[in-house]
Amino acid sequence: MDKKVIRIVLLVAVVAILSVLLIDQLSNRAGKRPDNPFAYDLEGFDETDPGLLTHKEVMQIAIGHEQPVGFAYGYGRIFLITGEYLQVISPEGSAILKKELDESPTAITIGNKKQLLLAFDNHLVMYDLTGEELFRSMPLDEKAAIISVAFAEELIFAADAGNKVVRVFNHRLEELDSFRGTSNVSETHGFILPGGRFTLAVNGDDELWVVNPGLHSMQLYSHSGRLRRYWGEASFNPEGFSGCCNPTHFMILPNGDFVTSEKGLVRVKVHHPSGTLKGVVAGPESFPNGKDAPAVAADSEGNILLLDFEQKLIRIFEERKENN
Amino acid sequence: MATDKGRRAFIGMCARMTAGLAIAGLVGVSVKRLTAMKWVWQIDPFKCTGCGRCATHCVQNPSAVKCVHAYPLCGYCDLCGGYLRPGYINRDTAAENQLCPTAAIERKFIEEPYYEYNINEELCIGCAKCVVGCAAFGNGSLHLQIRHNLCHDCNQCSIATACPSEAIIRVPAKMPYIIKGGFEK
Repeated sequence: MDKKVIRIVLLVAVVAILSVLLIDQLSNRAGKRPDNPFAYDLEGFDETDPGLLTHKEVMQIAIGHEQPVGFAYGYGRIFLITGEYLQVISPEGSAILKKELDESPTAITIGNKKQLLLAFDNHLVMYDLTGEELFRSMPLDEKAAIISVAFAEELIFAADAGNKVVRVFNHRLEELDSFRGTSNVSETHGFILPGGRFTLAVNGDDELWVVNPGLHSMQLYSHSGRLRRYWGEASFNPEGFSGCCNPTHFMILPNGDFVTSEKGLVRVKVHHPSGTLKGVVAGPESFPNGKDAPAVAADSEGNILLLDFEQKLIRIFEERKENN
Repeated sequence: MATDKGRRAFIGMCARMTAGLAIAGLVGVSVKRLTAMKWVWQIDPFKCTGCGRCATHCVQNPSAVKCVHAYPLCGYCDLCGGYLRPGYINRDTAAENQLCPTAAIERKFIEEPYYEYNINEELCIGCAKCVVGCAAFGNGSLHLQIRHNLCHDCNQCSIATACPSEAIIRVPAKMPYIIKGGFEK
C-alpha cells in the first residue's frame, strides 16, 4: 500500500482517538460530572479552631444495627434505648442487660435513687436498675410526644413536644402541673419548637433548664414554670447556636457547665453556667457528612459521651490534659 | 350470473366487515387512549439530595423544577437555614445575607419572632441550595417539585438521567405532586 495512504489512515485514526478522549473528558457521564455550582457552602464553619478544642476522642462503642433513640449514664453503666429495647452496657462496651419493652421508648433518664425513667410518647414508666417496673403514669392526650425527661429532687419534668409544654410529675408519676413557658413577663414567648426538638435537664442545684430552640435560648424556670433567667444567641460562630432547632440536646455537668449538641452544623460544645463558650468537645470535622445532633451524657470521671445516631456509636471524649 | 352475484355479495360483505372492524378498532384505540392513565415526571422529596442538577440538566432554561414550601411543616423561624446563608451578617432581607442565588425566597414578618417564607417561582431556578439548608438546619419544609405548567414531560427526562439518587420518578398525572405534609397555605 502506498505510504501516503497509510499516513492518512494513521492520521485519521489518531484524530478519531483524540476526539473520543476529548469528548470523554468534556462529557457529563456518571462519575465525571462537575461539582455542584450551587453547593451549600459551610466553609469557614466546618472546621474548629484547634485552640477551642477542649476534648479528644478516646473510645468508641458500637451499638449494633438497631436504631438508637437515647442514652444516659449512671451508676457506672450506660443505659441505652434502641428500637424496642433497653440495653445496659459497661463503659468498656460489654453488654450487661438487654430487655425487650412493650413499645418504643422516646427518652431516658436516671434518678439518684437508682430509678430509671423511660418516656413512651404519651406516658412514663419508672424502672429499677434491673429493669423491673416500679411506677407508670396515666396516658396523656393523643397529641403528647414526650422526648426528654429529667429528675429533680421531688419532681420529674417531661418535655412534651406535641403540646409544647413541660409537664410536671411527682416521683410516683402522678401529673401535677404543666407550663408553656409563658407568663406575665413580656419577654417570654412560650416554647417555640420549629422542628420538634425539645430538651430539658435539672442541674445539681435542683434548677430546671429548658431549651427554647426557636429562640436559640437556654432558659431557667422555677418548678412552677416561671422564667427566671436565660442565655443564648443565634450564630454560626461557636459562641452561638446555628439553625432554627438548636441546641438539639444538652446536659449539665456537676460543676454547672452546659454541654450542648447542635444539628446541621454538627458540633458539641461546653458553655460556662453564664452561657459564655468554654470550648468545643467535638466540632463538625468529627462528624463528616453528619447532619443529626448526637445525644450527650457524662460519666463520673468527667468524660463526655456522645450517642452518634448516624454511625450508631457511643463516642467517648476525654478532656485534653493541657486544659487542666 | 348467479355465481357473479354471490361473489359480489361476498366481496361487499367482506368490505363492510373490514370497514366495521376498522371503525371499531379506531374507536377502541381512542377510548383506550382517553381512559388510559397518564404519567408525569416528579421529584420524590424524600429521595432528593439537593445535588443542584435540577437547575443545570433540565431542557428548560430556567429549569421546570422549582422550590415549593410545605407551610404546615415550616417553623416560621427568624433564623431560617433555607433563607439565610451561613455566616450572615444580619437576619434581614439584605442581599448579602440571603442564601438563594436569585433572591427567589421572600421573607415576610408575621409577628415576633415569626417570619413567613414564600417562593417567587419566576425567580427560582431549582438549584436546591435552600432545600439543603432547610433540611440540615430546619425541618425540610422547603423542597423541590417539577412544576407541570412548565414541564414538557419529555419521554426521557434529562434530569432523571442525571439524578444521582433516582429521585425523579413517574407518577400518575391525577396526582402530579409529592408534597411534604401539605402544599397549600
